Amino acid sequence: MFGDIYNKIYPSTKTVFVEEVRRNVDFVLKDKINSVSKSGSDLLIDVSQGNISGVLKELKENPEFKIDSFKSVNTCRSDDKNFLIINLSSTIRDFSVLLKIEVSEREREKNYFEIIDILQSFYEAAGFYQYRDKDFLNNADINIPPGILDGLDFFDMDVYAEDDVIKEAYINLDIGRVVNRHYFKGMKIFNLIAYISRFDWKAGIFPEICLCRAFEELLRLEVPEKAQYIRMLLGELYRISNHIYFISNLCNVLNYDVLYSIALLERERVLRLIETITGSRVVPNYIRVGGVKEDISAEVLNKIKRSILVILRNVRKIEKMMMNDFMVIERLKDVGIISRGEALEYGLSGPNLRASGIRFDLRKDKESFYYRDLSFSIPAGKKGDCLDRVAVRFAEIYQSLRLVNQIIDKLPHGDYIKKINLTNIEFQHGTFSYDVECPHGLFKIYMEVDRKEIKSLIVMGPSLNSLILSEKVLRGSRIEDINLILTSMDISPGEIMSI
Amino acid sequence: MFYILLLLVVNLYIYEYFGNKIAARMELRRGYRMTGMAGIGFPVIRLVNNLSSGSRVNVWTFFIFMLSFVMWGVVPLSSNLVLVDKDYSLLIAIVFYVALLIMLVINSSRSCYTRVFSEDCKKIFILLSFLAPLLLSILSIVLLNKTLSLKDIVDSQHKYWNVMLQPLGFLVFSASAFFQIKLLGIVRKGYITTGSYRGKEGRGLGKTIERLSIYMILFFLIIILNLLYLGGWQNLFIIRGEVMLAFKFYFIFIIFLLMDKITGRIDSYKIMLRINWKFLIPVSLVNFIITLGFFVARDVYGLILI
Repeated sequence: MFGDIYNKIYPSTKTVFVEEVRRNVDFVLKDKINSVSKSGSDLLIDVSQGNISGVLKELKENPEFKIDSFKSVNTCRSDDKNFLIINLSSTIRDFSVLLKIEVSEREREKNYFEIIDILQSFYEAAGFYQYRDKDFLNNADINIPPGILDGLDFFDMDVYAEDDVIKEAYINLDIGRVVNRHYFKGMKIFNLIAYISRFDWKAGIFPEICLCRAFEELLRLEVPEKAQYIRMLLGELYRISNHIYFISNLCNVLNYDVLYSIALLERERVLRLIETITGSRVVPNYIRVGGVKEDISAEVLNKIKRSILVILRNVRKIEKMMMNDFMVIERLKDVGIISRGEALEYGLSGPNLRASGIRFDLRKDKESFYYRDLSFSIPAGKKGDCLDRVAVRFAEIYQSLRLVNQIIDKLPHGDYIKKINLTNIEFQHGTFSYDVECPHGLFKIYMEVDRKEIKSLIVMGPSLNSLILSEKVLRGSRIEDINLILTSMDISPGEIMSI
Repeated sequence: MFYILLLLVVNLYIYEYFGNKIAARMELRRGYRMTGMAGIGFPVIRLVNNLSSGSRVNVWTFFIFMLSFVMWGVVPLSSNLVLVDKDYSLLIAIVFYVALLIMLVINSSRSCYTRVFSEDCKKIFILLSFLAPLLLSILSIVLLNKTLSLKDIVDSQHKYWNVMLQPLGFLVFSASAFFQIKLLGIVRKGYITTGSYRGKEGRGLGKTIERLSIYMILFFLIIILNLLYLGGWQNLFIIRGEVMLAFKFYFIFIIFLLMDKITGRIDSYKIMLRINWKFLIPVSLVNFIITLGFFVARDVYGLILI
């Protein structure tokens, strides 16, 4: 009985730890902040604009918090007020903080840049959000318009170069800002599930899982074990599909036509497996609050088991062809090196972080899934160059194929969904956030709900951090490497459009 | 002249038709099915499509157009099918070829929307550095056959093809010819003519002429390779020489096309150094020095009696 109560109030040790940090923040910063609350497994700190500098200084320098990593800055609007949500995280203490700052309507732009100025003095990466003079950018040596780089058609780039070495590179995301708050206005929760996977169309299941897990945490809903296993299965299949797509993209950049075609065929094989389960390929609309849409039959499981052997054999062939070619190795080696320090400072996550030598995977940490029952290791690189990023992704494909095999072997019997009626459900006013390990990194969703209505929704994709860091990595690289470095970061356009 | 032009145009058509089919087949896309029966008209449709986009031509494009046909004047396609028969036809052909390459680089630099001069310098450097092993291996052939006339070189191969006497030279020549064509772009748009970030730029008459010149360079290098190393129009048993030349031409062409698919893009110094300066140039130098030694021993001191 005690165990049940304890699990309901504190579902994990992480929650206990975050609760402790919340008390510490409340104690240390009580004069400078308006309020501090828990939002999922993150801390939400409400700060007024005047106190930001003091709060940031304390958060960064106090050994209790040690917040050293900058993630993103987002704007949101609720109750006719404008807010700025700053996402920061501590790599040593392993928790993240959301700073919520109210910005007045009249001088919104001025205040925004003032806050970014202060933020930049603490975190270098915040300079990405700083105002950039258009005349200055137009005078750049090379202006790369959207669509010129293969698969990266959501930003334009201005490069200052000396000889063929890049001095400065500026990325402009104006063209990608296609989503605003009207997108989800008046939308019901079950409608939102169908739309949310557009935010990461390379691996569409992860936004759905993230959103549904967030609601389940909010409702304290226990999901059937089978549903969690099916989610894990789909997650791994999408991870394989995404990584194979990454390899085909890279081969396309290198003009390696044969491998490009073979890799796309393998991706097709994985997508067909996904299609047999979910009924669609890119936008699955399969996860539900409390479980999944449909059960998986034994025939489909057998088909997956047979197919993964073929996929494994073919991916091995692709890797052998790619890694034995000296032209590919020469091209990837020592290009776009990201050091451990840079990766942590710029809030990198996922395979890009692991390629820099940091073994961090949320699947190992998060207790909401059943990854603890499966045996797998976290692959990591050494140097953090393009070659390491490719090698880590190949290793992850093999790892995911093994995981799929284990999941099918251990798939429990029972219900696949806990049915609840979402039409009349009402939430208390509050905020929550949740993150999952998607193929590109930590995919986070921040939401503010009031009764039946969604007040604000922010998608914090990991690709944005890769894009911010690429501005720094490109400095000192050669002009011909721009496409290669950006492709090796595996940037998903869907995540960027939510900025 | 009419026959030479007819041959070139027919080959261009065949190249476009089969190039598209083979490329589509290798890239596993549906192009080869889509062209189907209508594929016979594909090269014409492609030409008209390109011409309809624009008709702006500059002076460099005009020179490119002229040179890509003029250089065929000195190249013999059979024992009697040659426009200008000179004793130094090989030298003139090489001069025309290098001039055409320079024109192409200048033209691509002119249409560049970047202001980075060094990238064009890099292009010239990479292209010319691949020319060095090619010239060294041609020099070895000239020393071996003691003539600058392409016709005489072919005639001297009636007993043995030069590939038997110069296997290293053949390897270097074909590799360097392949990489030059690769740089210019066989099926995809190449690095030299389009640059790093101009792959999607350019249509119209100007670009059509540029593509035409690249096809001409491809034909030219394969023909020269045939004439220098593979016996040209020499008969093989009962097969006529002209048929053999056509057979060898298409064989090498398909090999190049397949090679194009399984090699990556050459746009960095690192790969160029690895391929050219660490492999092709040393091998061609060794080949040249051996041939020079042979030439000196045979013709200066009379030590070898062949």
